[in-house]
Amino acid sequence: MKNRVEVHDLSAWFDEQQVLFDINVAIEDKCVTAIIGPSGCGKSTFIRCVNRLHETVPGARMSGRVLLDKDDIYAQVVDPVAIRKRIGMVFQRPNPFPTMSIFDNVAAGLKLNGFRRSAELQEIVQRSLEQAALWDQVKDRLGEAGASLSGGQQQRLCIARALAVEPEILLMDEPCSALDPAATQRVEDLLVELQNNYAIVIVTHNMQQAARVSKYTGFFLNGGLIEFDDTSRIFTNPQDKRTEDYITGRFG
Amino acid sequence: MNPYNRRRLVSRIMLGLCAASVVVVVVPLLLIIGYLIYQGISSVNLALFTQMPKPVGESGGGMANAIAGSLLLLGLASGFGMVVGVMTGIYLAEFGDNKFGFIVRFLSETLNSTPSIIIGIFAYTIIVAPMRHFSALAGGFALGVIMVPIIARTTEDMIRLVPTSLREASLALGVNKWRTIFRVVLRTASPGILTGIMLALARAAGETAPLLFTALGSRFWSLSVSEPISSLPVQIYTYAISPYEDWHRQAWAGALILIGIVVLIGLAARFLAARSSLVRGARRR
Ligand SMILES: Nc1ncnc2c1ncn2[C@@H]1O[C@H](COP(=O)(O)OP(=O)(O)OP(=O)(O)O)[C@@H](O)[C@H]1O
Ligand SMILES: [Mg+2]
Repeated sequence: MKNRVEVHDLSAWFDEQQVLFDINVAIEDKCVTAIIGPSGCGKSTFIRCVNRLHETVPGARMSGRVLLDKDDIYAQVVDPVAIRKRIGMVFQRPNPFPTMSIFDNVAAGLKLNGFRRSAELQEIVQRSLEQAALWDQVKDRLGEAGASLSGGQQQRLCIARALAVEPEILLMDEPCSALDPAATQRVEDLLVELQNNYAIVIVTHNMQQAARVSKYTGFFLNGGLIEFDDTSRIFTNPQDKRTEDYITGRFG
Repeated sequence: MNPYNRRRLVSRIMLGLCAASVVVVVVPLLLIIGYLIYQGISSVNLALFTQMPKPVGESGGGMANAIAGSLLLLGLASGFGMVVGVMTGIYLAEFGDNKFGFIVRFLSETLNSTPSIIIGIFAYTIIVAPMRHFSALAGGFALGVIMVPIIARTTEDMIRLVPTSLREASLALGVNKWRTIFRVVLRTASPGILTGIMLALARAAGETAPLLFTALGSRFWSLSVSEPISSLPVQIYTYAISPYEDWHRQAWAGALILIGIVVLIGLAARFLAARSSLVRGARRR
């Protein structure tokens, strides 16, 4: 299988504090890769380096190389804005635009970039909301404020918003941490479906979730990638003692 | 006295002090408005809004030119004040975490507390003197300079209240930094920014001193930006220091209208602030 993203010797800092240490990993196309690890170990920072969002934080910097289809996305000539169009992101906490309607939230990525053809927009919004399993609940109230939805619905709205710009790679930072079991189930179903077209990276604290949806799993600890392997191997036969301790709940 | 009773007593005393302070704030305003109504209401009539001033000696006439002049001056002032103020606010909020930002912030605060007469002299020096005559343009500029720091300050504060998560949501969709600032951040902050603009307008509406050096005043109808122009505060001033009884009454009526305008602008500001989710969120915190 083809690798979409390759990460070489990635380190990252907030001011003088180093939070990622020499990460090497490859993200495969058309499957889900799970990232697990205790709170504060650098999971969010890691995926934020992959879509060049890390550098927007004042005082933040990184070193190393991140290749998207063999091209270094940190090369001098590369526009981070173009990279972020190709690599979508869903955040840990749902963050719909409060001034926008449900429709405009989903259409935001296109509209803010000047896309005007409204018939096409209608289609894209509907398709994205369907993919995010939200269409049936909101189809009669697309004009209402995005913030009027429940937390779980807002998170699916954000998923739809990310899908609407048709990225090639989808980074999801604990997309289910604010969801109830039923909504979580729907998002997981969605992942299974989406992986036919995307490379997906999902950060999760939920070990069962990682086991259910992912093909590969990476275990982070204190800013280092301790182990990266087939999900089944990580959960049944981890090579590193620390991975075993974590997944058996002995710490973290 | 046991501790509970003592705490209750202290709490009562503090509450009493707060209530007394509220009275001190509210009573003078009510007295001013009450006295203005008492003195001015009998002279407020349609003619005041529609007619021009009559020559000395004739009674009647109105302040139509002063009202129109004030509106034009405020329009010019907001045009200048909004553009410069909002841009400055954006700069300070987005790029101002450095020494230069600190200096700009300090200068802006200083400008805010500069006596308005000095701002009038400044506008006189850079616009009236080179043009060799007084003009609405100079007056609008002076009032605009008064508005800038107020608008810059509220714009900066409101932009800083916009959560980082919204910016990141926009950036992560592949929207560039400037579009994110203008179409997501500014839009989210806009009710709060509009409130600041309204407050600045209310402040500028009542300024008299800078207009004496710039717009001067005029007894004629004019909407030209290059001519001297009448305004409510200057008209009130002129009428109030005149020896004519009829003018005195018109000054009272004009003052009543002026404070009415200020109160209306203030209400609009309140209304916009109440609609701002950011301000509401900030209050709750
Ligand atoms: N904006 C920031 N400024 C400074 N330090 C930060 C910032 N964001 C995160 N950090 C630090 O970087 C380290 C890694 O944080 P990160 O958010 O990547 O962890 P995480 O694995 O995603 O944790 P969680 O599971 O709680 O989301 C932490 O030690 C954190 O304190
Ligand atoms: Mg995180």
